[in-house]
Amino acid sequence: MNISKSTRFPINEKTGEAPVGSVCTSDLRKILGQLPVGIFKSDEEGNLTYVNEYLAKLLSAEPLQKPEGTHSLEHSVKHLVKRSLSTGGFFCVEGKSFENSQGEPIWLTLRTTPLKPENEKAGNGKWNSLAGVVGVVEDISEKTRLEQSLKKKITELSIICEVGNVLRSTLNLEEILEIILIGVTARQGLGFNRAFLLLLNEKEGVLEGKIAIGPSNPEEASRIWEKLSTKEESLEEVLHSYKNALGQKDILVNQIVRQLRVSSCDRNNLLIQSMQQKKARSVGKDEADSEANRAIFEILGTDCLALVPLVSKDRVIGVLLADNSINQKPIEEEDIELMQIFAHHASTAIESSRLYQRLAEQVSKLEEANKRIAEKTQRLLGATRLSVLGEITSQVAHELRNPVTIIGGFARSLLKKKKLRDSDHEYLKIIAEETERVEKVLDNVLNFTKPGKANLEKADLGQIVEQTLEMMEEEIDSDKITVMKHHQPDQPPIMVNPDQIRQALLNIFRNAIWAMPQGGILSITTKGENDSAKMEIKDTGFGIPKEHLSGIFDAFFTTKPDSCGLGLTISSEIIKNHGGSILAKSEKDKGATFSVVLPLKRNQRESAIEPSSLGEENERRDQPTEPCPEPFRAEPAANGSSVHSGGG
Amino acid sequence: MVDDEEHILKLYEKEFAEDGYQVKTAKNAEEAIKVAQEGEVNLVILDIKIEGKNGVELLSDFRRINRDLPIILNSAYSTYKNDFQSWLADAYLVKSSNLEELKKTIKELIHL
Repeated sequence: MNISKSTRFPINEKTGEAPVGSVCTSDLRKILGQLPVGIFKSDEEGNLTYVNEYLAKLLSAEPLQKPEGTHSLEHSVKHLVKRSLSTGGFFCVEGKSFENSQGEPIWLTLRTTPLKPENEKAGNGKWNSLAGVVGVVEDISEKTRLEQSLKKKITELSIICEVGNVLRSTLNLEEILEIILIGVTARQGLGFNRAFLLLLNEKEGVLEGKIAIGPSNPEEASRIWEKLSTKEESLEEVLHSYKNALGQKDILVNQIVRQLRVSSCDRNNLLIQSMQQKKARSVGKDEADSEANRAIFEILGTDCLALVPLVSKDRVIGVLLADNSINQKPIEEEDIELMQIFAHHASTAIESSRLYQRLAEQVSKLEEANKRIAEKTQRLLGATRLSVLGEITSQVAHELRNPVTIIGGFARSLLKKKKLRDSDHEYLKIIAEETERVEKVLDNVLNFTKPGKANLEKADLGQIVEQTLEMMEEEIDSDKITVMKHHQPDQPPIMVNPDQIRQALLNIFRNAIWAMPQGGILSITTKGENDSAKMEIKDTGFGIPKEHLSGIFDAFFTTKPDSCGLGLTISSEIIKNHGGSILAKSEKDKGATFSVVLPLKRNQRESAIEPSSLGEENERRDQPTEPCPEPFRAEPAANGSSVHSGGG
Repeated sequence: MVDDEEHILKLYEKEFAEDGYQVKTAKNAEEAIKVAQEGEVNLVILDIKIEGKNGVELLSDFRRINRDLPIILNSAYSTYKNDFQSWLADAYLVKSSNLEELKKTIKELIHL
């Protein structure tokens, strides 16, 4: 209080003191006694000569925690008095904690100031001796408590904030789960000993243990904690540095957590109850009311659990468990509260990650679909091109048929005349033969169409091969060509149009024989495998050059002088129409190998194809295409066996 | 013999006449019906793509006039084999400069 001359209590001008005379000593004592602060005075020896009533009550206070070296309030007061006496200075101890007579913590601030001796003037502000010390003891418990709670709130906020920051940095579910667990157990975070995370598997209707963190035993714990305590890292740093280090799925706590698997319908289970009530709480082992609930504590090896449901937008997605089974620190209500706030952030992150995953799945499905559409478009375009080509070819062939018939017909008719000159006879014969060749080409062209759906029957692939070879008896010069056959016994039958397959094989065989003008070996292997029949046709001919390989199944592609380039196209079309695939591999001068796969059942169009095995060798694979548009289907083969192509 | 290709008619006429058949030719549907109605025909060789009418349709007309008349469809196209109306014919042969098969079929049908 600032007392000035203008007040009703004039100040003694000599001493500068307020006149005490206006208050009597007993009044003064009364006032001092009633003040809500402790006041004391000592003599020059340091003995307390006056203690007001407020302080007298406090003097019985004990230090809050009693590690060695701490003393009672009385001791603290006396100690301070002595220091003031010995140094003649002013002392203050702020916010020292004690325990009051009710056992409650209190925080006190102690101040002492030396009393100058009477009738002595200070030289340079110092006195030779002191009359004693006066002091004040102030109870700042309320302020301290507020400060402490404020600090706690700040810590909590910073934990939430830091974890939130790290959680936002990823959408990877595994990483999010790890961050959550580290946040719960880090010293800088919630500081639990161990944490377990269980997520609801909605498909199977079970709550299942996913991931856990924590030491297996006290020894491991002290080792880890000691190591951690040497590092001064913020929570955010800890979270980042451990984000990817939790890969050890086989550590004990993870084995433990995976033993937890509870049906989400089990209403008596305390984990499910907590989820249903959406309420966080701590549960002791002694509260477990059933065998199943006691089993949870047994599995986790703990006596007390913090149990917090993970709720995102009113939807429960799992439960977060934490305990202090290593250091047995009791779980406080505020730990649970903090964990609940924490769980809220965790839930949101988990939910976001799941949404993101779903989105990513959808995007990849869309990409896949787009790819398929692009592929189909390509195939359709190819088919359309081929179909237009086929249509034109078919028209041209038909237009040619009549004149060729007429030319050849008359040539043959004339050939029957007996009066012909030898040269005329020879020329007419040439005309007749050449027209016959043109007619064969026309047959081939007109048969180069999509075979109809009809006439599928059970057949044996080996038998078809044999029949085809029989048909070719005259073409295969047995002096030059050795045919080696291997048919796996007891092959399952295939559903095919045998005429068409014979035609397909005929062209492939012819091609192989043509490639071995000096002779060689044609080996044919057939076997049944899973859902398909497989066949390999191998020759020892001059092979197909790399630059030609990609075109061998294309219409009108040929390197043979007297071929129209439809043989292998027809073969591939027939095989594709049977839902099969054909693959050609070759290296120059090393022969060629054609692999044919035919599904055993007709409905396995796509699945009959093997994954491509592009190696060093060149290869060309023809797979089933989409059905061709109508114009191209307009010319089904008149008679499968009537194709007499020169092959390829 | 029904065909809109004059040279085909000429070839067939010559060939079959040499074999001792009497050949009547028609270039379109109208002529063909007329010849058939005169009733002196024992067998018909019918092209499919002819002027005025599709040979397969003409086939039905012939059948209405004479249910037992042997008819051979002879076309540059093999497609019509799958047209069920063509099944009304006694034979279906794709045109060829080699007439042996056609001749064989005619013989079989006439001497049934």
